[in-house]
Amino acid sequence: MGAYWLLAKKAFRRNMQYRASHMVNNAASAIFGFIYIAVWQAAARNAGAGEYTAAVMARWVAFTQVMLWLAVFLPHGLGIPEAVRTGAVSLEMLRPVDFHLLVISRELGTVWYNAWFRSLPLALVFALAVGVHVPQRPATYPLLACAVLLSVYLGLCQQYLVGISSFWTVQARWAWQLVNTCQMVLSGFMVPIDLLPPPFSYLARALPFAPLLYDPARIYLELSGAEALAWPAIWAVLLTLICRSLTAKARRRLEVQGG
Amino acid sequence: MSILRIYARLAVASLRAKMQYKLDFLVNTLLWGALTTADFLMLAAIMLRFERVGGWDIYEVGLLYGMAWIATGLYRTFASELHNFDQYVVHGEFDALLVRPWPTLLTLLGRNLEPHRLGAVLQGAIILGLSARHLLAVGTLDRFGLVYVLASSFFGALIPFSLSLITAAFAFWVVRTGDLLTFTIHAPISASQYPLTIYPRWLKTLLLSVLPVGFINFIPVQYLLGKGGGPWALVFSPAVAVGFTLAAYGLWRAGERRYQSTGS
Repeated sequence: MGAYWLLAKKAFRRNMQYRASHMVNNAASAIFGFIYIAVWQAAARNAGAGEYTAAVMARWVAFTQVMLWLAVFLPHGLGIPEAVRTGAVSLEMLRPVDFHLLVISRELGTVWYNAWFRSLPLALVFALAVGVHVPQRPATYPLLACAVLLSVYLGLCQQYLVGISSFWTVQARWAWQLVNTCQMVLSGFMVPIDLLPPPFSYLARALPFAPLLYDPARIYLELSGAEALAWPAIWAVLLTLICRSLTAKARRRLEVQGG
Repeated sequence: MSILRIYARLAVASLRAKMQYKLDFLVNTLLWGALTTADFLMLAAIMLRFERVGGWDIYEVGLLYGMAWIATGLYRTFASELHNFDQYVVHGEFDALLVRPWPTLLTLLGRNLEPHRLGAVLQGAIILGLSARHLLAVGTLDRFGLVYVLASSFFGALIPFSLSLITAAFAFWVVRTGDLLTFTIHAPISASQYPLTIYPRWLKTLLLSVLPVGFINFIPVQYLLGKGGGPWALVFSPAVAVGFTLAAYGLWRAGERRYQSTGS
């Protein structure tokens, strides 16, 4: 346990070195948020789509922009493709710690950093610009906490799968592109998945991307209750099993490239 | 040998290298085209639900979208090295470009072309084509308008190119500019896929001045579809593109003179 905690702390400290450059990113994120909010304001001006009114969507966009930094904008493949390319992965796999847990806990340090230095400033900017939604029901708070934790974990697992794909292909870049695109379109970022045109709305519900943003956003805005945790929980179990079985396969498959 | 011929040689050499893997090229082009269509899916989801955004229907917005992606796709195809230029400054590799007896930018651009980025141009062109067909049929757009839109899509590539050139030039002062790109290219290009009238005034001003992506598509299309502006828009937009490119190149030259290599 101590080792995982130490790794997370180190990742946090490493990120602290780049605070200034991350602020530029935050400004860009905020601008993206304002663009999407403006689009929704213009589209839903007269009547929203059912429960998604212009006012709700402004908060939806703000919430998803803030969540992106916790669950989606993580290092590509959690640094595994790089480690495979350089051969460093062989040393990491030798360590007497669980590889899946090792990588995940290392990145939790990054997520913790992002929460303070990316999500929080962004949340403040959006709070000033479009106001904050304060959940009214007390039950929403523990549900939201669970939804956010599951979202972070699922986001990490998805990046982990991208990373582990580099054991089989040198084109892990494309795996990342594919996952990243799905994480944008099918996660409820910008467009809640039930508003997507039919084949895509069903597809989005059946895939593990909606639990990243759509389900937490619905809980936060109190459009759904505890039932919105079902899909994230199912996917957390499934992705854990997939990650662990692929890790076992990758361990046997491990070959160090080069001479 | 004239400068353009040098560039052509370099570009052809890069393309030939890429074409050694023809299947790779084909798959990557289609994949990139499909992935970049994601933007349209979100746009379509909103447009199909609400019919109009800021008074523009899906075909009219499709025109903006297509033009933005053709311009951006061309820029990414021909200026991929510029897109990740800060690495040259970080690692001190810019030295290698300085020793050639012709402009550094020429060597840089010729080094690496990414033909699979044409997949984005292709998807933009398909959306643009479908939108234009409808707009021609209902008479909102005339034939001259269509020709102008096509020309402007290609010409418009100068604007993301210049934005990238300016960002790259910043690397001579601040070294790392990777994060800046989101601000100077990705966000403005995303914004340009919708009519600029929907944005708050400060954002609209930004998109028509410092980050002038509005001149790729919105300003001329607004006039061509009879939604405002005047005939001046048709002359002014390419003029802005050329002027901005020259200004960007000026900044690049200034930065180049300031370059110090790495090491002790």
